[in-house]
Amino acid sequence: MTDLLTPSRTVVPFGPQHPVLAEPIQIELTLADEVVVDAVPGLGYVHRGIEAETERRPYDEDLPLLERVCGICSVAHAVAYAQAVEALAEVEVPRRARLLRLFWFELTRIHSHLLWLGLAGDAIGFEALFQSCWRVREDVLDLFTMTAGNRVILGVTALGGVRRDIPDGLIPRIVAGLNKVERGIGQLAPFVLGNEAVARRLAGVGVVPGPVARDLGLVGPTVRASGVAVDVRTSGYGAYDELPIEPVVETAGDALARTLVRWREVGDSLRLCRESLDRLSGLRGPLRTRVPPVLHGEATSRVEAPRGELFYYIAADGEPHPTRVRVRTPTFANLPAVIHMLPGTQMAGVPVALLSIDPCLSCTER
Amino acid sequence: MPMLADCAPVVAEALVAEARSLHKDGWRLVTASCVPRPGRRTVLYHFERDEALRHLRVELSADGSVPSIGSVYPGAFLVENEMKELQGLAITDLAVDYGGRLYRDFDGPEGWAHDEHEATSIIEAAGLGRLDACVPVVDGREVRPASTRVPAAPPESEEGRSDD
Repeated sequence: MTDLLTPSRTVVPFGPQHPVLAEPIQIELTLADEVVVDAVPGLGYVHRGIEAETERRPYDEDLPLLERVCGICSVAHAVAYAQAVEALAEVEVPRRARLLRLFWFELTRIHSHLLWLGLAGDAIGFEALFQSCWRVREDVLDLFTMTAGNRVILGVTALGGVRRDIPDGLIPRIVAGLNKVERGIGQLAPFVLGNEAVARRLAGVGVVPGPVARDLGLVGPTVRASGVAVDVRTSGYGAYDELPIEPVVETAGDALARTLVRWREVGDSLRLCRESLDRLSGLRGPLRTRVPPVLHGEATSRVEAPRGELFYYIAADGEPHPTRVRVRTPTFANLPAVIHMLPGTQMAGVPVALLSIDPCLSCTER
Repeated sequence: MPMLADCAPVVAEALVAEARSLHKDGWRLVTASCVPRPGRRTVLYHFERDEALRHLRVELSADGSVPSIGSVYPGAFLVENEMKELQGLAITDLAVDYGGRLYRDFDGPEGWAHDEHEATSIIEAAGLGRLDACVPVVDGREVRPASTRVPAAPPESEEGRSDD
């Protein structure tokens, strides 16, 4: 006779194809009725072996390869790799190049956060938010096209500096573009902040308390939404020593808190873009320093990518190619949060909880 | 020649105790890196606290192993499984063990097994679950399909097939 009081257990393969999950990951969910009791991530759908490939190419040819680890945060990968190689070569990047890197980096953060907010709107059935966010994001991509010639993978970073400059004459047009983005974001504000539909779908979903977030080693907006004030930019790498930031922190640790952190970071990034342009205006100097083709030693590099800390380690044994390039992406660090946050969640809340860490599997699997 | 600052060598047997000590002092595990070289491996564990980095370095022979630090840092299971699969590093006491198959192999069992009326996937036909990864191992041997990826129509019986 069937025991009607004991919930039945069902294993549901969530993903890799799912209407609200744009990322190729499978979460093996064990459900007791509608409640998740266990979640195991399954990877391997977009593993390309990029780390191994870097060990066969010269250092400068690895740069465009690593930029393609992820289309959304290609600038972050390029800068993180370049910084590690520059540390190995013990060369200093010119100030103008550091400011230019910061400008493109922060513009990347704006477009990444707007892209995520649009996807979150789509996931909670708020199509107008999705369309509006991506319309504003198009204005950011126009700024990429104006300054770098590309919409997504910019190709502006070089070992020892940057490949492209922003002439002073272009700065007023860029500032006008930034103003347009700011106006667009201002129009979006009522649909995000204090909006009941958004709050009802995100509040209390996927909660990770601060001590757990710290213990699991989470990074970026995911950990800052749990009240932990960590942001690699506070270490002052690149041009962040002259343009310091304060980490944006929320304390609720749920999907809504992660949304608010990203929302406020967009405003910070707009400020940093403007301030870097102010400093670039009238500044003269070289764009890059020469990096020798044969290197020896070990170096690490960390940058604050849109999704959180991006870590590179390079080992070099005096050959014209690296011995080992290790890439630890933010989503790789944030995936353990899934195992913590999903048990206890209703099945209907799983897509939103998972999306709230802004997963990027292209980054994670490399 | 630049080398990692604040990098302490440890032996594999002392790794978990060292990790526990760092955890107690508030260090966060950033990740681990395995560097295979001819005849040996170097395993580095990277930690961060207040934007400063500290590293533990374990030097191993080619067949050496390290214990899992998942009991101290629960988020370590992914990088440990990755090193096990991609660098062939032997890791003992893994709490979540993907069996050297963190990244599933999709060039494998996409075949079909046919019976009289229907085609079932080769994994299902072998009585395996999806978490057995996509090249399931049965009795120490990888099960790879011999059939095509497109299920062929089953042969009709002498009486013909009815739709009901």
